[in-house]
Amino acid sequence: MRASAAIARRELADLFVGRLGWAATSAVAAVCAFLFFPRLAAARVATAAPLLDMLPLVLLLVASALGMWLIARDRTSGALAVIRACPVSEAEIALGKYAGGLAAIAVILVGTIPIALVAGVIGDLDPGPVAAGYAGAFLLGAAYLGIALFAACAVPEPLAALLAALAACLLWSAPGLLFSPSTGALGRALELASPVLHYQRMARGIVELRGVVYLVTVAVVGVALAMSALELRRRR
Amino acid sequence: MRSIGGTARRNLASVAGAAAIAAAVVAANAFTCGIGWRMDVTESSRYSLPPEAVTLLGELPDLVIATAYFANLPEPLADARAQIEEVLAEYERLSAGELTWRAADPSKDPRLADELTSGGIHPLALADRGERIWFAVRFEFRGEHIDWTPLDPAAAAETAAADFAQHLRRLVQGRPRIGITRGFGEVGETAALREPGLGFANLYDIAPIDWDRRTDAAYLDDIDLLVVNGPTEPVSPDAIALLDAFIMSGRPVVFLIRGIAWSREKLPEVMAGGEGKLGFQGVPSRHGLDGILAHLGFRIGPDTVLDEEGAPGFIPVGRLSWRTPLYFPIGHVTEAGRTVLGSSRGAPIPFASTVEIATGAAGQGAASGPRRPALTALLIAGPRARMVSGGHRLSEDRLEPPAGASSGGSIILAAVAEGAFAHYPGAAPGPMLGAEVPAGSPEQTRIAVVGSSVLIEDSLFVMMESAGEPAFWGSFVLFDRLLAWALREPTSAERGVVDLRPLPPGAEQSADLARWTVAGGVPLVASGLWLMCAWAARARRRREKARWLRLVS
Repeated sequence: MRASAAIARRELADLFVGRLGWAATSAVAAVCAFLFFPRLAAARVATAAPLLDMLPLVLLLVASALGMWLIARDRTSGALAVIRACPVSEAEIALGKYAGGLAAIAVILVGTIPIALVAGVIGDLDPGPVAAGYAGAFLLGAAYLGIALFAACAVPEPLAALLAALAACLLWSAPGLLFSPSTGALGRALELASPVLHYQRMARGIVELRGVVYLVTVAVVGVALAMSALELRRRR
Repeated sequence: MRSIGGTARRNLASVAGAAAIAAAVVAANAFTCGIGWRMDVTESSRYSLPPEAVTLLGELPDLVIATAYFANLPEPLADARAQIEEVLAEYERLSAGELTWRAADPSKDPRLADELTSGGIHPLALADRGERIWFAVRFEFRGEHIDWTPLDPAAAAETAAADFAQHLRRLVQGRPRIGITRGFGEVGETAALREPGLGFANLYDIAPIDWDRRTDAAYLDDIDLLVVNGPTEPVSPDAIALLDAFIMSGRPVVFLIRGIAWSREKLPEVMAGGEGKLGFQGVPSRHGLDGILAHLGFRIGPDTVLDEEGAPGFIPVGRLSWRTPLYFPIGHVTEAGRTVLGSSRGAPIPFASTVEIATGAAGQGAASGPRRPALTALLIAGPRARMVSGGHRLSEDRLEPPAGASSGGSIILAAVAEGAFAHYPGAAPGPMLGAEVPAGSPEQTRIAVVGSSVLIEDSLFVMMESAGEPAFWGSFVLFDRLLAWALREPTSAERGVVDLRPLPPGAEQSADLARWTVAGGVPLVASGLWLMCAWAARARRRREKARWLRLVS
């Protein structure tokens, strides 16, 4: 675990001692603010829903890029081979990189909190759905990052890994992000499987155990698969 | 051989590990789906069912099917749809299989759309949209159904949980019977109220009360609530005795009384202003209820309240609809009134009269101590509202005499009272009543008085339907809440549902400013944090370098 923590610290330092992490945080916050406030004024109701609605797409893009960056950067620079030469298991490498990426997602999300705070100053915002929405966004980001990390570990080419992660996350999130599932058994099944619909419920102010567990388990499975993919690559 | 065996063992271990993880994931998700634990973190607990709904769901004797008809919804209603579906899902979850819900899209099925229209569910008409907007839920139970259409679409999501409970109770346990008086020049008929799709017919069993013909005590036995619907002719002593007996029985009465009676026959030529123009003569109404109202603690002023900050538009006067430049007042819900009317902010009250409250009235004096009725102002006019007292005339563009000075916000348009009321001595039982009237009403008898009779006037609803005039929905909602309060039904008001949190005036400018401030401010702060991180990292490197140099030296 100590090795994982060291790797996570290194990833976070690379992102935020360098410009990349802050640039991503600023870009996400600026775009969200730019899109959110006109929608708030048009709605004429104090609500953070337009902001929370944007976050799944933002997280999908950020997590996919982050997953690719975490592995591909070390792979192309040869740092991965150096780390592997150290007494560190593949599981510790994957876990460390995942923890570093998750911390970066948390920082990026924190960067958008001023938008909600300012909206709260403008109008009387209900804090419950906002807090639940941010908790849900963090879990959604964790799940996306798990998938993106697995894609990055499984696919050696950085661009292909990014596209694979984007495609997987988009396909998984399509019910809710791209269309509303129809009624009936298929609709119910899609609703249960869609991470975005679970997130949207949290953003409306309903925290469900099944949604939390679902997103956490997807993240765990993603990391586990990433560990296996790294192990397989090392064996080859 | 050893190498092959080792690989096989590793592969087997990998497969077993993957299978174990998959099994754990499936088990965890299945287990949590089965538990169904959820937490409603909204301030108003809008997705949590009221206690009465939980009780009702536990006692459902048969399957209830709820069908949500949503189609072509514009932005605010589309948001409300998701929230309403959450509420329906919660009803289904807590019903233990006795309630199930589904969604249907009438816009894709013309036959279904026709069926709904003929069955009382009408699409909403929005002026700027050509599509038919479907926004309704139908509950079916043992071959009967009841429809929910939002009285106030803007607050539909806020009130859905309580509204559904009310509709389910109506469907399973029956509708309260509401008597609406007629026979003494009451302004509206009650026929339209019985039409499906107009709201009240869904929720209440409306019965016309011909109190000019029948005043025997048994006449009102099956009536749960009586609406005195704005008489303009003197109500007979027998009818007043009937009314008093009804109050003494502890059942609620809603007085809709206008202080001015309107007619268009007596308009002078000079006011009519030529052919095609309409005008009305208003004279103080001689409804004959002043005595019993004063006894209960109320007085309806012989006046008309106007407010240039109120709502213009078509209004019904008698049976006619008429566009007036004279703005009628908005009845703003008072702080105390929110316990009765909940999230309603107010409603236009066309040609309202003032309602005065007298706390020391005779009807209250008889009841002493804790039983003394509590009177509460429910609606007040805006600060710039004015009134014209006594007889006056209206044409399309003139008012004679002109209205007086601004009130400063002290005009009460509606009030309620709750407590034990004494028997009205002016209402000696007439020859047809034939029953002994108690000396006082039971405790917590509820009386509501509104200085207008147009809240339930037929023509208002007909116009609302045809014109899609949203301003009038407020009156509709207000009256529904008032009835629910009078009938002691748990309403959204009692559940403490908060308002829709509208943005304050000038929020558009603030939002625009915030857009640029946050979009520029966060990168600025991020740059500062980056500089700090970079500086800290450099300082750390220097320290480590210095440490190494010390070690080497």
